[in-house]
This record gives sequence, structure tokens and C-alpha cells, in this order.
Amino acid sequence: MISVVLDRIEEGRTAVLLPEGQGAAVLCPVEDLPAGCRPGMWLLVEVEGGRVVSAQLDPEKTEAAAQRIKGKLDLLRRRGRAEP
Amino acid sequence: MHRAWLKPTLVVLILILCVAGSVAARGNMAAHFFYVGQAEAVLLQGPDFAVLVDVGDTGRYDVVPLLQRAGVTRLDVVIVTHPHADHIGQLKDVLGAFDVREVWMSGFEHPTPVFEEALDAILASDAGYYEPRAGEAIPIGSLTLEILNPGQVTEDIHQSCLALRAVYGGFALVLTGDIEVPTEEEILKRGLNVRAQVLQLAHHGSETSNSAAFLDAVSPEVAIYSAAICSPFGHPHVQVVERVLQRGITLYGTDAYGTIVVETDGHRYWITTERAPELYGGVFGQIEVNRAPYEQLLKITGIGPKRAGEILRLRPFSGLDDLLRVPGIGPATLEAIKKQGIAFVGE
Repeated sequence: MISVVLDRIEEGRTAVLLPEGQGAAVLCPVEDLPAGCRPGMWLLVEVEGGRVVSAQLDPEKTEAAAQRIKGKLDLLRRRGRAEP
Repeated sequence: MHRAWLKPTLVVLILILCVAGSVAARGNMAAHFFYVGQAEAVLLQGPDFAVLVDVGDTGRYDVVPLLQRAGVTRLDVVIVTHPHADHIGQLKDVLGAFDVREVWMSGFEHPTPVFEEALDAILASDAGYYEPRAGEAIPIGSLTLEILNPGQVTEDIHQSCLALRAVYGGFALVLTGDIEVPTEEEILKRGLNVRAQVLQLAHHGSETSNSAAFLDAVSPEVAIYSAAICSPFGHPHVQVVERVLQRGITLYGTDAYGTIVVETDGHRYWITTERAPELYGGVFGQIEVNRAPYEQLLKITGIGPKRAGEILRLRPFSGLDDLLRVPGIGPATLEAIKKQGIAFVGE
């Protein structure tokens, strides 16, 4: 099983999964993902021959990543614009 | 893929791309629509400004070499229209290679490693940060960026996508990121001026976007989309191509033409392209090192993502032996390339 996040769904059909750390995106039919899976959600997936053969949502990882992202964006918002 | 509709019904000048110094010295603006595969990266470069809109895809190393080749040394603003990987993928690399004054984003929170890596890179840099909103008009030197979207960030990443109208003198260019039809309708309802000589087709020329109403409101003479050769998502969609051509709009795509440069003096504009459509790959599976796009270069033995990026930066090459200028290519690799027999340097 590898940890991936659903970056986007192209044309309502093709899911683009990004692996944790470095690595190429995995494309799969959106039907191969669990019901209720939306972009920005983390999953644990099993990939064989370039195809996703099993997938389950990872809500804890999704929540942790969302909190980290929010904190970092808040830091940037406090930094604000460059001096003129 | 055969695309008869891209056969030139107009005169296409095949020129080596203009370098920054010459554009700036002429007091012109050049909008470079880089070929970066199934992704976006557009450089707006003028006498007193350099703005990058979107930063290519993750897993590639092409945006920095392309910017260096265009003569970029610093960037006033890097705008990320939205945080999908094919629009924000190489922000870390760009921030590492250039002095960037500000980064603009929509503010949409997308919990992916690519976005988090980009945020970390901004935090580690000295760049300022801003989330512009529809209705603002922000001068960057002699360029004005009029923000068309978003009015506010919503739970929909495409509805929250940044879209803008770049104005240089009497010339205007509309950049759309991945906005979709409902967002196009919202933009039109705002009553902002969207008219432009050149329109970047939204979402890589997808049928999710580029409605007749939006095309008619912008009323462009030229439309440009960015998509990979043989796009995995079928971009551009034939319905959009037909909609554009039926309106007498001249269509360019980075898949067919490579990098496309629109240069303007603020009144007139002219277009140069990296290659004539469908001539990029040489013949019979051979690869012309001075013209081939990134993906084709990767088929040459010993050429990985980084060396392919270096080839983009350093070409033209006078012959295969000249590839020794590429960092990491030594006599042994050169010999293997010659033995493979698919790479060549044309006239």
C-alpha cells in the first residue's frame, strides 16, 4: 500500500493521484476510488501494473495535511506583500 | 494525432525565440506560452516587468531552463492560478533559481505534498505574498494586471481560480487558468472589461470551459491553449476547437507549435512559434535535438528529466558532438546516443 492524495479529477473521469514524497503521478479511472473521495483527500492504495487495485480513505492524514496547509498559508498571509 | 485544423491558413514565422534583452530594448512586451507538457506556464516580459503565470507540472524540470533561456534574471510576480500540480508543480524550483518579489495565489487550501512544498519554498524565501480579488487593477511597471476572478475563495478549486486581464498599452491578454463555464458566467456578471486581442483558452482547451458566451465577450483574434502532445485527457476538445474556429479566431496550441510567443508594442502584435505544427519529431522516429519537445528528448538514451531541461536551455547544438556542452553528458554517453541512432541535428 502506498499513501497518495487525490490532486484532481480530469474531465470527470480520470483521477490524478500524487504519491507522498517524490514520484510520478498515478492516473486511474475515478470509479476505482472509494465512494465519497474528493480532491484533497488522502488514501492508501495498492497499485499493480500501473492500475489501482485497492484503495481506502485516510481521513486522519487528510485532516493533518489540511491543518498544516492552513497554518502555513496563515503565516504567509501575515507576511503580506513585498515592500514597494 | 492529425490535426488538419492546425495546418496554417496563415503565415507562421518560425523563428528562434526572442531573448529578453531584445524585447525589453525595443520597449515591447512578450508573452511566452511555454510548451511544458500537460501543464501551464506563461511569462509576461517587458521593459520594466517580468511576471510568470503558473509554473508547470511536478516531476518535470523544464520551467527554470525555459525562463533562463528567455533571459529572465528576476521575477516581479509569480502568479499561481490554482494549486493543482500541473499549475504549481515547479514553484520551488523557480523560487530557488530567481529573485522573486511576490507570489500571488487564490488562497484555496489544497492539502497535497506539491502545494505544501510550494508553501514551504515561499516561506523560506524573501518573497511577499498576496491574494488578489476580482475588480483590482494592479500595476507592475508598465503592465497592468486586472483581476477577473475570484470574487472570493469557495470550496471549489476551479471557481476559486485566479483569472486576469493583462494590459500593455492598447493590447490586452486574458489568462484563465482552469476556470470552468459557471465561473466564466460569474466573471461576465461582474461586468468587468474582458475584451482582449488574445485569449488563453481555459483548462487546456477543455469542454468544461470556453463557452460561446465567454468567447463572444472576450472577442479575441487569437486563442492559445496549452496541452501535451497526445494529451492524456484529450485536450483540446474538438467541441472547443470548432467553437473557436467558427468565430474566425486563429488558434494556436503548444502541443502543435511548441512555445508560442506573442510580442506587442502596445498597439500591434505578432506571433512567433518554436516550430511549425507537427514538425517537431523529425522523421521515422528520429528526434531532432534542436526542435524536439521535452518528452521526445527523454527517449534519447542517457537523457533524463534534468538533462532534457539542460538541452532546452542550451540549444541550438551544432551537431551531436556539441551535446558534450550539456552537464552530465560525457564521451561515453555521447557514444551511447550515437549508437542508439535516433537523435540527430538538422540543418
